[in-house]
Amino acid sequence: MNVLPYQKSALALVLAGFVAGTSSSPALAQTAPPGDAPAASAPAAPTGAAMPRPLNYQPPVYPPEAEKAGLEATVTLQLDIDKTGKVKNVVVIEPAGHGFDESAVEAAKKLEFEPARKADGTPAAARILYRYSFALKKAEPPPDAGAGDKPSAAQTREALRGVVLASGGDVPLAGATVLLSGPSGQSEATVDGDGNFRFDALGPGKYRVIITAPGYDALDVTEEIAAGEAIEVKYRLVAASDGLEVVVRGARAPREVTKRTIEQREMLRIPGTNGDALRALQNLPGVARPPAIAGILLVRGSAPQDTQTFLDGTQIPLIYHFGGLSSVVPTEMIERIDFFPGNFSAQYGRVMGGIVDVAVRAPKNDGKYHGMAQADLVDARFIAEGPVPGTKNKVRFIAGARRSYLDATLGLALDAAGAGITQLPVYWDYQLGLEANPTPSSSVRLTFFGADDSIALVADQPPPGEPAISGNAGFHTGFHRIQLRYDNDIDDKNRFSAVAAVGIDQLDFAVGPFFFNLANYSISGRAEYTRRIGKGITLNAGLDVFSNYADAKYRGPAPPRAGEPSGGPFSTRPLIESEFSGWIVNPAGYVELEIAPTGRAKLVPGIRIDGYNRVDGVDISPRVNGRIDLTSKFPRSTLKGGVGAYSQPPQPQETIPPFGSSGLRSNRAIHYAIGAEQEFTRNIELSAEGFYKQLDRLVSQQPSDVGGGTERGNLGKGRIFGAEFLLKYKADANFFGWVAYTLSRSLRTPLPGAEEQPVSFDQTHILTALGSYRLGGGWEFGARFRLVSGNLTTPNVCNFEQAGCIPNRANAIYNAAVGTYVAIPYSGPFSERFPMFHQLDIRVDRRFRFKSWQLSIYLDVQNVYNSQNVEGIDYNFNYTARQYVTGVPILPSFGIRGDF
Amino acid sequence: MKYTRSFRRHVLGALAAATLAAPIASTGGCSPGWVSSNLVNGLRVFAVTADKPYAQPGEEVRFEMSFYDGYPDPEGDGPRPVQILWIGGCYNPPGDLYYGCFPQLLKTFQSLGESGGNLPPGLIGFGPTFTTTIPEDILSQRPAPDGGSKYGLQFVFFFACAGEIKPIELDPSGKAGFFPFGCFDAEGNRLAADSFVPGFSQIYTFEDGRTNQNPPVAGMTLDGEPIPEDFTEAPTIKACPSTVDERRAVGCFAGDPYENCPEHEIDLIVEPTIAEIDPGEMVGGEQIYEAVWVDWLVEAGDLTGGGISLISGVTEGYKDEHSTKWIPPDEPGLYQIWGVVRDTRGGSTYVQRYIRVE
Repeated sequence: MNVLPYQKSALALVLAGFVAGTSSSPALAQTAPPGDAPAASAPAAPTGAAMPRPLNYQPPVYPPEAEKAGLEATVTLQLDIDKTGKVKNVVVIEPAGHGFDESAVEAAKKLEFEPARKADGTPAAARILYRYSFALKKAEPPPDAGAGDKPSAAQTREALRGVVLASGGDVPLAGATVLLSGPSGQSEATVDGDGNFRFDALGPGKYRVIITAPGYDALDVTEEIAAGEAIEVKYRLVAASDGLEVVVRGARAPREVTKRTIEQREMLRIPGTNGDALRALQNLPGVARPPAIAGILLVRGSAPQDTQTFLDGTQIPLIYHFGGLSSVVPTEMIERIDFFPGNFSAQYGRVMGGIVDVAVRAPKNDGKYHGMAQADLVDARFIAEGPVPGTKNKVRFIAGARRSYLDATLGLALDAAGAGITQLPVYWDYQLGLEANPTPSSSVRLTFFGADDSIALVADQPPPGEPAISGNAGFHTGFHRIQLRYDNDIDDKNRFSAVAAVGIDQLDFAVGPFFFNLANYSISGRAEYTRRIGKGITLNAGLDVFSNYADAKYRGPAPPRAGEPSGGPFSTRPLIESEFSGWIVNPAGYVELEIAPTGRAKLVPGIRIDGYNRVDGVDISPRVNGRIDLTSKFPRSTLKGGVGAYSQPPQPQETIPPFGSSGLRSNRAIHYAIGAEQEFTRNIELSAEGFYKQLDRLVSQQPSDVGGGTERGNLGKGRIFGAEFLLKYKADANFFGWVAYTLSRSLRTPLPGAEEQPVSFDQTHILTALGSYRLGGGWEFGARFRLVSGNLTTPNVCNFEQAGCIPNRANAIYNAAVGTYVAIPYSGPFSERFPMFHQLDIRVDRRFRFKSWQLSIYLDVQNVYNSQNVEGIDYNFNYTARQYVTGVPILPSFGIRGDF
Repeated sequence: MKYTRSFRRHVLGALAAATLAAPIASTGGCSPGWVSSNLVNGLRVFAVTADKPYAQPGEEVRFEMSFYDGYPDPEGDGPRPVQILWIGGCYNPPGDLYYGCFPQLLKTFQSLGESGGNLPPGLIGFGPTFTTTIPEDILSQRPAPDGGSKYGLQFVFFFACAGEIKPIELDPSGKAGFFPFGCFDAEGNRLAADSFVPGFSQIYTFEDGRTNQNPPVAGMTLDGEPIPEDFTEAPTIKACPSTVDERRAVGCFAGDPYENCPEHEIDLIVEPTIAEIDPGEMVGGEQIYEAVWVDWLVEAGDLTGGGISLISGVTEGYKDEHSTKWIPPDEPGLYQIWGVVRDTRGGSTYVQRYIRVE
């Protein structure tokens, strides 16, 4: 191929950023706010704020040796731009070597920007990602190539001339490619340093013009040129989203108290998580360590069911597959995760704990097809994306799927090894998104997604104490959603967002002849209107409706009958079959103001009203959050705080007789939080926050006064308090890492007059330290160490090694009528704490770059020194002895991944 | 070739052990776990059989305890003597729960302590049997249920000790659950928990006068042949050479511990009519029966066919197949096997036989 060296493009790509200070927020968790125009990819820019806009363009020099060698490359930089628009610091984020990095850095230092602006318009320092692409250009065809006969005099008059600019900054997009096809054939031109291009000697007719530039959405237009006409055009390209960054935040600054960010590089490299984004959440302050095989989130001392998970604004029942091996959405599909550990804004409700909202990223918009495939010892996945054929890139798709194969591989290995376990969980998930932009300021996305987990166990003889159980046991859970989402930045003052979804959740459980099948058909919707009603004041108003039709079928043992001693085998009871179906409708509405009296302060008062058709009463939940920057200069010092009321309806089984009771009210909590953030360097920041949660009207049960059974009521109360600290080194070219520490206490008083007691997942100390360093040559090494208080348990046999233990105590009483032992708990509920959990995980990555794709391999080793961490206590049949149940042993995992 | 297979096996095993996540480790898949609950190696109470599992107000009920001390005796003096203490006097506790009796009993004993009077009959007893009388007001003090016949419930507590029973000091913190007696050896040392059994049993009384009989059992079979009650006529089978340690080394590269060891079928001789009608209980318009099952216990060897078998289900009725499989120990000797038959209404019968292993 005849090639000429040429710098095809060196293009700015504002991918993400952060605008210092405070400003408003998106209407929905996943959406960008109004006034955040150019950067479709910028996930965190707030309402009224402006990203830095380039004022000039400095093409880098193509490294001569690389040019001779025919090398092409892309270099991604991190630019620190001060509030005058000057580039103060340049860091290579994605190096390419061969002189490309140095060339890109030199060019970037000469860039000038219109500085970022806060919501009130004041300039602010900002950090952005900026990409230079180096490509070799094809040789220009000779003037007569393919043209055939010499054009007539009339033909030579027709021409198309124009300029290509970056949208939002009027910066010429030098190096962009303009492809013209029409009656006179196909031609290609490259935009020059001033942004100009031209095609001469065209014939009359319709021409299709496709303009592409790395880092920008392709533009596909049709121009009609009349005979003898020469037209001039001006094209503006919009910066594309390429998913380079995924953001996890404790809370978005405008509406909530805390904000924490984990970039995608961090998320993919945290040791012990297999690069799973949602498992990375467990390393943040305020998140307790879940038991070894429990896929749950324990946020600020709240129960797992007190934290709700959304996918693109739609509630989903699961966040992790079985055993927490991985989350239900692959990291590569995630744009960002909004994580609210408490004091979340009025847009969220129905839970007392935390909120996790996962945003699936938009398909790439460069008119090309991309893909990724990855496989490790647990599962394999792929992602494909690009334009939908025949739509001229007006509709883009992104599709992904994943399936585990532990059952197919490890099951055989275990069987061969004689481990006695041949049944292992199977999980899969899928995502398919179609996105279009009806107008430049709006987008529509249709998404299908779902996940499925199942496990089956073969029982060849009855389990102890249950003579009537035979056959297999199985458990299956899954969910599927069809979701339609619409976002419209109507103008710089108004914005509207809405999302609606229909779906089904399935839960199936079977043991021998017993089964429980539950299908929940849900219809949910959220809509939010945001209007800037004055300088520094923004109004958010929204509706949040969740409705669910539950259809449950049950076949199982009848409740104990009169005359049957309790404690006997349940499998010998008569089988009863019952069905339940009914609607749960939970409408809610909220109004919220974002008040920025100065450029450094923000106050967000709001109120939310929740109704529940199966719960008595209506809940009115006022909330207010605020933050203030003590200084307007670097290093930033911020104070923040909030207080708010939160309500959570009882679990369905608590309200449905005969298992539950009618007439219950919702559980209630009041969140208090106060904290501070302090920058030390551009990379190092410390944040500290204290929190207190007062719980009341908690649903609990007590024995009936007469006869057997229990009754439920809003009888419990509780309190949770603690402090969180995060010392973080933000990712630069070589390193990222942080130390997170949480000190907390979670207490409940289940019944009036009862003694206050800690909950089982109360973890006094939670310390996580992690870091990852790029060694060069494509190698990266990371480590994570965790030191966490052990969970609490109610011991039936005391720990012989502890003072005061009576080894010969009667630990159980024998129920002679049925032949079983009933434990006599020792020393009160949750009175024993397991030994301290400690574990070291490491990860090594090696990346190989090729011309058009890259290959990565990694080794992730959990529990390097095989710490025998205690997860529970096992007792013998008559409670005369006990032994610890330990968690994950040393666990290496190897993976391979290719991207193009 | 053998080396290759072995190597492959170990590689696969290492892979499995290294990559399988918590489920195996957390469930103890590679550890031997506890000794089976069906192996009698300490003091065990098999059953407390009431002559009338359902009784009427004013009726006398006699309880008989069947037990065995399987604790290894280094002196070779045989099973240790067992003391048994009975405590009655509790009926209709809150929630029908046994621990609802504790305040009731405390009140009774405090009252006795203050008055210094004689113990009422049926309150305290010693030995393997105990007799009590169903209170006359056991039904009248209960409210009528929403459906079905009114019923009352009486509890009887016991404490069996392979030594001497003595009262103990209670936990002064009051947090720990407790049982107010301990078991001591001749030297006054408090014995470990496998040398005593605290427990309870219960008797129902129905207003409609319904009764319940203990399930009748005619005997036990070994490989289809009845086992004589007289241990001198016990059948003889061959030992399985696998040691106890070899048998417990399950999973994670363990071999088959029962290779070349024959399984023996153990069964009970019962009539298909063993289960009684459960009055008033209907499912799908059809009358149901009490369920009947058998708990198997052995002095040695392994129950490879399971430790529990259903004899009759509530709706499906009598089951032809209710045997288990037993693999004898490696040590020759005379070994006991017990079958404790229970019904879901508190009835029980126990059968004991000897098998000689050589």
